[in-house]
Amino acid sequence: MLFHSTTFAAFFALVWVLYWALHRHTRPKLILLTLASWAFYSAWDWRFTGLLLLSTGVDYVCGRQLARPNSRRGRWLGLSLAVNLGILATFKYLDFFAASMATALTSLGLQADWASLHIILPVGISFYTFQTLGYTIDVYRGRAQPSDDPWQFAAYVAFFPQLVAGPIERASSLLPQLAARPRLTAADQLEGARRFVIGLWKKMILADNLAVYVDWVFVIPADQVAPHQVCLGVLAFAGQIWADFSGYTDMALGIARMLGIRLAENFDAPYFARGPRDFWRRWHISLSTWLRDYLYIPLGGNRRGPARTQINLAITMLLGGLWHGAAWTFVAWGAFHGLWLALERGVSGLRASLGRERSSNFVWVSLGVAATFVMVCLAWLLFRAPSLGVAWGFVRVAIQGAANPASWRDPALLIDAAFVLHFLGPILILQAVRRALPQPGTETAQAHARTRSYVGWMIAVYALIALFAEPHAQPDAPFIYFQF
Amino acid sequence: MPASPTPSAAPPSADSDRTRSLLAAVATLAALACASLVPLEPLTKNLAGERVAYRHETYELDPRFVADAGPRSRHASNAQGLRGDVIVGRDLELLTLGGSTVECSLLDEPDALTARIAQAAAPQVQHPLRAAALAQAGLPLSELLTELEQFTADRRRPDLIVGMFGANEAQAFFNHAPWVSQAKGAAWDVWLDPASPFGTQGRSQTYRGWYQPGNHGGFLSAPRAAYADPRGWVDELHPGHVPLLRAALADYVTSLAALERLTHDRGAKLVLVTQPIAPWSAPADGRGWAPFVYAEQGQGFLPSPDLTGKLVEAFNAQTRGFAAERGLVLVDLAVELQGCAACFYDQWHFSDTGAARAGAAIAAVAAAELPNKP
Repeated sequence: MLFHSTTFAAFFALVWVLYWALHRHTRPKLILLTLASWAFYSAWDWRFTGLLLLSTGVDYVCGRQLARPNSRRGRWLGLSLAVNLGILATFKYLDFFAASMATALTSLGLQADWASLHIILPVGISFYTFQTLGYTIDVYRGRAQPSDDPWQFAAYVAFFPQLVAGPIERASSLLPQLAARPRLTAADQLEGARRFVIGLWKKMILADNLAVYVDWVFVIPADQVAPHQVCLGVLAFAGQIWADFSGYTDMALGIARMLGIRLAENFDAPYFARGPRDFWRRWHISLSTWLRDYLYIPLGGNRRGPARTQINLAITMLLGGLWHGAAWTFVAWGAFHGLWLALERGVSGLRASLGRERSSNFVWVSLGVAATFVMVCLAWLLFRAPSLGVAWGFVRVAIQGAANPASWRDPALLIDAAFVLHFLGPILILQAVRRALPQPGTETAQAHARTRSYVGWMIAVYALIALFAEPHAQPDAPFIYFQF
Repeated sequence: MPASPTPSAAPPSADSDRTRSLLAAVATLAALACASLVPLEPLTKNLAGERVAYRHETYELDPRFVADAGPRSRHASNAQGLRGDVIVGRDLELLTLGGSTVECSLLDEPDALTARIAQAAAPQVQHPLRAAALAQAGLPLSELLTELEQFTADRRRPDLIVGMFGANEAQAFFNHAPWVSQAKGAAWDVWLDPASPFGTQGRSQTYRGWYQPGNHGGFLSAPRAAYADPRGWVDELHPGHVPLLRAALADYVTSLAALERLTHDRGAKLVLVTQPIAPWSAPADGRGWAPFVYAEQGQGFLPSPDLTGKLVEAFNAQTRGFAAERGLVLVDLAVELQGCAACFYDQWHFSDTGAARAGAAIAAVAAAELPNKP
């Protein structure tokens, strides 16, 4: 059930009416939310709801046990980790590792004629397993209170606005909101509707139109693709993946807001980042902070010397890449970011040892932002390419194109560029505006609250017009991050 | 001593704050509007008249039936409504015309007929060819003429136009023969294959709607079922059909003449290609079967494979005769691919193998018609 479908509109209208009818009664409200979320999830494939229930049940019990004094806390945490990571390993990675192993053995001349298990990847599995894992680890560490209401916990795991593609919510943020009595306010409803419309525009107009060009370019064999197609294809994908994922997030936040619940922001103008560390503070924030808190820091973070820090960074990003999908392209994407982060850290250390500060000169900042965007796009090529061979072939074409200006004299270049720019332009404008306006939580945010509000509404009005005026390429296209 | 506040450090008034916010909002709107002014509209005219920029289609095929097309076949129609890359200005050298058999909608882009012609011809003309397919499933030549006229109305000047027709002309004859629309009980009703165990309702399932994304090859099931029982086939034409067929053939020749004139006016050379058809294979034999994509649901009759062959051959004979009469170059693909079961995934449409063979055969003749360019 996609957010931009009429089925979802009917589903949400029903849930919204019942939710606000029951909002004074916490238990019935939680039961409604849970059942609605399970129904929402079952709409994809009811069989996988069992996995959701298993994860919910195990982590609820583990959370309760972890809160008891003198219980064998390590074992309960181990059980939670084993079940959740086991589900993830089985359904997401088993086929991949079996196939990779078979390929490796075959290349060594050994017989490895294993049939693929063809395990179907349950939608949203990476998101809800990370969310519940975060819960048990937080309870183990004493940073979150265990839920004593199974319906509250079930609603936390399966909360339908963010179930299949995040944001990955922390127990300390979402559980209390679910337990509280929400207030039905016009401000929340309007703000929710505004976010939803903007998300709808990002997804249906910007992302889905760019997807057509991207899909078109990435099926062209590397020996036939033109340099301008490689460059525009990668640029278009950079726009597509942001518009698709942040569009989903906007819709999720908007829907939750209409239920009186505030979810975490997941993006903060990532294409205006300066350096990889800044990029990861702005891109898929809920995942990057999850990886930081539950992987990088437990590995030792930056507390065990420079060399170990670099290794920890590389491991974290490698696993972060693998989290996105069971394919070597994702591993390479993660490794690319890991190495880039390590390099930046090394350069920062060197600069600090020389007593030099990072320049805040506008020109240098702009150059840094542009260079970061180029590197991010290069990484997106790894992410989007169907294989590492294709990615390398495309890079070669781009390099050869750079060395041979005549290859750019393609009459199709202007038409393709106009198409990509038409949809990429608003994406860069949105991020530039976001970067220019201080966000809530910053020192100067209060002074810019009105500007943020006015600009936000203007964008929503524009989005609404664009939804009717711009072409719709693929009305039923799923979100990219559903596959993760 | 504390510094005295300067005027610039004073907090902004509510009015100035509101003005600044409004200006920021208007500036944002203006920037977004500017981005939307990047021209897209001229690119959205395609054959179907849909308002799309690029159209991307993915067909899912059941590999049990379509062994060499791959489980997912995808292609895009570009902003000009053509299959393939965007072609502008005078760089277009080769344009193929036809219906779904030319479009090759179920083949991946590099495997489609037009790409195969371009690939095979490129070494002979010693430069890469820019080729495009002006083709749409179900369109007979008479309807393609309008599209070609529009497409070449401005500066687009292909050097060579390759046309392969016959399938949709025969199809139109099956579909639109007037007896179909007669009231029930009229004389021609008998030709609605009353012996068919499937009936009109069952047959309507065999019509359009098969080639939909996400149907996992299910489109093949209905025609396989329809053709599974020969009792539903119409083996020969009713004597009353013969003048209708003659009229259809004459119309086809008139369209060919119009095509030749238009091609000449646009300064292009014309190569005609006869329509090949797969040898009959019973549905139970395992080869995929999507025999007839009817233009309108619930109409037409179910010609036997033999009758289908004869009707297509009648149109091919007109193509041969017209080419000979006007001195045009002809590629007799119907003869070239005769008996090649592996060349088709159903009765009409090329498999990868078929598109490659057809592309090579056409390129061998067409390359000589293309001007050599440095």
